[in-house]
Amino acid sequence: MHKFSMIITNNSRSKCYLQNLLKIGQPPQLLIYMNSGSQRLVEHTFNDLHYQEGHSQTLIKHCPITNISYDDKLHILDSAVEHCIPVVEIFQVNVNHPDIVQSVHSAPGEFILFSGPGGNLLRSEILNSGKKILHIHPGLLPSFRGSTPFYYSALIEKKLQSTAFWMTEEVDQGYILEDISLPITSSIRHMDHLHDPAIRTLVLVNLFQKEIWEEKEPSSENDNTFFIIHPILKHITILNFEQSE
Amino acid sequence: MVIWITGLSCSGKTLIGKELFQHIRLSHPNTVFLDGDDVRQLFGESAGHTLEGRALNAQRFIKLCEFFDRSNIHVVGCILSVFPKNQLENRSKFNSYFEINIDVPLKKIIQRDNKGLYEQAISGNLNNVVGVDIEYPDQSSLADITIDNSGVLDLDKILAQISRAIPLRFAPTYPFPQGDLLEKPHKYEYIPFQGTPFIEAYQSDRALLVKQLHSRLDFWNTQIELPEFQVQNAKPENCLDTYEFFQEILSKDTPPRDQINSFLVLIKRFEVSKKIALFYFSDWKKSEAPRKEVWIYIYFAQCLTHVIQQNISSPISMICTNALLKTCDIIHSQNEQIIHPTLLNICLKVLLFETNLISQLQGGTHA
Repeated sequence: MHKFSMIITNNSRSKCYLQNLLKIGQPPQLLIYMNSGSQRLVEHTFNDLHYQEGHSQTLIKHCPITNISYDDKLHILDSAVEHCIPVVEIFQVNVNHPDIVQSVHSAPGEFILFSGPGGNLLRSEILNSGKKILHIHPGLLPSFRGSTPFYYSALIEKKLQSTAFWMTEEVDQGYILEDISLPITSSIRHMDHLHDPAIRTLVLVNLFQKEIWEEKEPSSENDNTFFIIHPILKHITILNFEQSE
Repeated sequence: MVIWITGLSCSGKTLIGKELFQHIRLSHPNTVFLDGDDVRQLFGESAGHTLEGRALNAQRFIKLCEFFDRSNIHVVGCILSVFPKNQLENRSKFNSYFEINIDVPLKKIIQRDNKGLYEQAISGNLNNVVGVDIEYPDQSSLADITIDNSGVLDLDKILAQISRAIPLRFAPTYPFPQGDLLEKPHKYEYIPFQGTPFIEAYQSDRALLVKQLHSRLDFWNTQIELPEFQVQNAKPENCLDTYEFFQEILSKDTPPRDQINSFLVLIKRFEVSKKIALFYFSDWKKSEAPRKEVWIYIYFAQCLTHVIQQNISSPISMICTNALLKTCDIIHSQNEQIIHPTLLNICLKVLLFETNLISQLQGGTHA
């Protein structure tokens, strides 16, 4: 079993990671919960924001391409309570905040799995806090660096791709641990809140099922940096797969 | 308008309501979502679930709807309605009212029972459960539309069904060129999928812009002499001149790799700030140069189209296409300033290229 802690927030990705790691018997030793309070994060879904304590409803989301599922209505802290995982709750959306850096520094385990709010670039303070930070990038590295790469790989390669790597100060350029590339065989209209967390989770699960992790230096060939996709390109990407169904 | 969604517990009314709310909010930001359980929480759960408690909660729910309706705020409200009289009165109470019945046979609901509610009620361990010991009135004659949600949930199909029936237009708009994008750039973060109508909204938006630019160009076509476009650029020494760089790229049929790499660095600067400066320090580092001159964005867009044409099947083409769409949004937001015939001509060529490119991508014939 791997010894690690996690930086999380209550979003689709964190829920999907945690629920599936628990399924394969790989619980984190500590959760550093970045609570956005009443602040709405760009990636927040209705269910992330409108949690009602005591509600026992479930909403299982299933991605047929990866065969990964998660319960969107299960609050991240409810999973923690159910599995007796200690939580440090920090009211902060900036991952570089000294309180988060301090928590990472003193967190148990050999590394930190990062699943904080989207769009956060980790600075040297947190990257050099004494713990390696594992990130799952929703695209193949080094070919699809940057933002929203899952749309670009769907558009260019007609595939869902993801890579696990150690974060460094150079964005998306750390040592690679695991990657995956799957052909898109069904609609991807729920990309942001289903396919993206699902493909990342699949790589994560594959990696955690290995006892020994081999590190691969990323090649510098075919490296392209993509930027946040324009809504028209996003729509075209999704619609192209609707038509091919 | 008050959109009233009713159905038994576990029928999926809240899920459908939330999806409908998200959809309507895109074209009508003055919309709120209201759920029967939210209203209970809001008033401290004091109502309870007896018939009397449900009547109290329904009255509170209606009062809130009335308040929003009076303030011209649309409501998507989900509540388990057991008082047909309320629903009949709603029709005269609100400015506009539309009722949706989410229909799932009780047998199927009991199979779902994801709250364990029906199991407890049937075994006698829980009272006041609608459909078991509280009668659920027939809704089909009360509602404007009945949605069958007994099969596999297909939210898109249900939304399409509702949008056809509802007297509230919620066709998507193309909002990106709105406002002064050089003053307040758009971040393009997380917009929900709205299907083909969103692409159509973009196409009509761009067609309108083309029409405006054409009519301006028509004026120049009546003139005997056309003014030359003079670049006003007081570049400090040892700085990179953006306009000169663009002209170098445009002058070559196939720009060399090092020039393309340099252009990609400039695209990165643009993507981060959504602005292009008239000059930069070495390696396209930020400078204090003006970044609100619309003409430089027009030449940037022209360069993007040139590089896309040269790299048609490479990822570089997609990086440039993405930047082109954002640059055209900026051009649209600043279009009042585009009056010079040279700029009008370039703009029209760029917009024609952009719309053709999008059509090709839509058909999957590009890259």
